[in-house]
Amino acid sequence: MTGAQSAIAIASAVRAGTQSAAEVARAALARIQAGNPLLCAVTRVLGERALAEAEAVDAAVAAGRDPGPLAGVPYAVKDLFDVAGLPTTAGAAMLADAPPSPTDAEALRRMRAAGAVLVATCNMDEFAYGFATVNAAHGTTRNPHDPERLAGGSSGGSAAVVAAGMVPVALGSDTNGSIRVPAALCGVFGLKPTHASLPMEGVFPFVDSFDDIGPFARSVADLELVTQVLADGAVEGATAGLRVARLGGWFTRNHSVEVTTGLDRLAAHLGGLETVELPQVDRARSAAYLMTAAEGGARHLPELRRRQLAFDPATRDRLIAGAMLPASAMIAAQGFRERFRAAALRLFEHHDVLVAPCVGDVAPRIDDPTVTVDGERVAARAHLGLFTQPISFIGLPVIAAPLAVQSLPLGVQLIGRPGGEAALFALARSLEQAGVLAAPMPMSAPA
Amino acid sequence: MSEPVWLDEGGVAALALAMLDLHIAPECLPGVRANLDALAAHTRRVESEPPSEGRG
Repeated sequence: MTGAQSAIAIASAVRAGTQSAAEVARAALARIQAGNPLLCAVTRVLGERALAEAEAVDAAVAAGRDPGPLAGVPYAVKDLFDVAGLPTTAGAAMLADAPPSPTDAEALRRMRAAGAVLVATCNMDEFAYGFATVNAAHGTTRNPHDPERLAGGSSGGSAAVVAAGMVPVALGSDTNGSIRVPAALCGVFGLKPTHASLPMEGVFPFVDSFDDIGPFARSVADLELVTQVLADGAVEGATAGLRVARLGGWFTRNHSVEVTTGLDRLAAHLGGLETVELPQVDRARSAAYLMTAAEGGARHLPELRRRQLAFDPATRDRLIAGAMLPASAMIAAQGFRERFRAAALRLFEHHDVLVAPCVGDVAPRIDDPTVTVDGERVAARAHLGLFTQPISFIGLPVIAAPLAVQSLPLGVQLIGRPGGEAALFALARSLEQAGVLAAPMPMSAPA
Repeated sequence: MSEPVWLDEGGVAALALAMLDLHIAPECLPGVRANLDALAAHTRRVESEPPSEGRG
């Protein structure tokens, strides 16, 4: 058994009785124990719970019952899902002593009902406000492909545990790119679903109007399987004769030659792609930035009043500023969002999938956590979502997929119309089969 | 009638914070200032579009 074993392979072996879920769980726990001191991706190891869940799966198999499509599959979750018996911290030290959650988040309940085994909670930017997974309480999550580099965020721990092969799948959340950015930088697949299509009950909120949960995996098939479990049903919709286009304008600037080469290769594989323009993307990104700041600031205002110095400084100052944003800015941003969404939906009258870069370059170095935007070096924590923010702003579904490149990982966004996940999975599957997309295993991955 | 109370710019800012019932600790001020500058730039970008007319 290796860390590269897929969720589908594990579930198949466990259901057939050729592999025990307890054995799989123990191996995952051992990989975490071996790999986490370097990566700082896991915040809590749930050994006792994992073995209890695994033994229940094994008991079901022994009794002739089917434990479900994720039988014995070990997984980890971002530290903002409710886990019964534990405080939900959202990466915040100030919540370490919060009352334990009485129940699991609905997403975890569905995973457990499908036979999955929860083994760990994962590091994140405090309250999900950042693209870096630099956390004052838990440390900085390191990229499994180069530990001197960021994993991206805010779901960086979840992306890293999958990329490193500790577990085949993990769950994260995405408000402005918090699944897609770390997926791209760590070289794994991630889904940001159509807004509000996957269960948010028991998930610590950040910005209600953008927040979504979604899975990470190393293959399209695993990603789709977990999505089906989370959605409590098949991902349905048209998958034949897909009309694909490439986003131009904003999405052609501020990225490296390697990103362009990867996108060109993808386009060539599809026989060349028409380039289409989404108007005023810079304004959309700014509007998303403002709404995030204002909603996040308002959410945390009571604690900012009471104990602002207990926040992570990198989060605190952004939240205070957001709380001070005048209503006129928020109203202008909300008004623009409706017009921008209408413009995007017009593009989907002629296309099923839009292709765009996910990040501009490989993961930034931890000792220089910056990215270049329009010739200026700016903080990665706030700006790695340059290409992701305008898309989640209007609730569209996106698969973030790793481009098959020779460099450190880079990712592409496959963007669909609302409810268009089936088309995204179909295209990602065909590109993965053609070798255009691939999740590389880090050289240092545990066996 | 009493004399009007004139507030300078700092006084107005303090009043705005008082409305939020928010006191900013001194160690937070540089970071908050930098983030307000960023929000101001984004606000200008969002508001640079003329408001649409003729809608009810």
